[in-house]
Amino acid sequence: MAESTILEFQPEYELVWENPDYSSSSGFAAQTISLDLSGYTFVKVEAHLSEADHTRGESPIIPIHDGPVSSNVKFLTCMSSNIYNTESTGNPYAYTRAIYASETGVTFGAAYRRNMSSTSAGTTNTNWVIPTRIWAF
Amino acid sequence: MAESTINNKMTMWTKIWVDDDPTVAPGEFSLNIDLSKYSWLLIGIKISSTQNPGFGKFYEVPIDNTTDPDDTNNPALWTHMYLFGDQFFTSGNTATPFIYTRKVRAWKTGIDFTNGFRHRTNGTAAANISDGYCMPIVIYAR
Repeated sequence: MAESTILEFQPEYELVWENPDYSSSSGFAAQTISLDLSGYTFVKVEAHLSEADHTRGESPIIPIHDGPVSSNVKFLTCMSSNIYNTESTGNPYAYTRAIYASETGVTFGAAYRRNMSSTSAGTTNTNWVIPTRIWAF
Repeated sequence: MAESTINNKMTMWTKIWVDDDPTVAPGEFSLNIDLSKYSWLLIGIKISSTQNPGFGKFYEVPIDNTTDPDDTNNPALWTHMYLFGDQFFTSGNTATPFIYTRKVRAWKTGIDFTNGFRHRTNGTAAANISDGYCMPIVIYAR
């Protein structure tokens, strides 16, 4: 492997929340998780595709706002497992959930699933895009 | 410069650029910024210049160790950014689902952004190009 030309810098993420039961059959409804984030600027949120499929999705960095809640912050996206192999002919789905962070906690919106191969309507289900861990820095 | 609503406390990130007017479509553009003391960028982007204010996603972009980038000898590699359109964040929405993209690269003295593109995810029609798609609105460095 060629030597990297990129300087390394390790961020110091502090774990501030873990989902005690991310495989719960009751799913994860839209809610706010109360956390004291007043000493931080960003959070990093990990989520799994669904309560039945623990395929890890993206773990995006979220800015901690000190202003009013915006309804237009949309971060979490997970792709269905069948777009990661050449064998499946099933519909490719995108799973999404809006997320918002403030000094007093992290707010999650409802989760949605949209078929990327058609214009059929998206649907919602609490079992999708289950957050599992939150780091702050 | 527009006032930020993001805290700036114990972070290791330094805010180095904010879009003066997120309603203006930026197209393909470059920023001449001294990044020699940093190693990473954190770039906040939103879907388009016509969308209401609010971030779509933050991307971490490595700063390549070159002062004269090109695509062969001194690579400053492109990072591929993408955002899903609003059609993915509601139920009952039957509008064409779009994905918005733009590439970015960074090196010791500058940042390049390509044009923005929008491609439907449910068909093979050619992508649309627009200056206002997938636009950066804030950049941090560390």
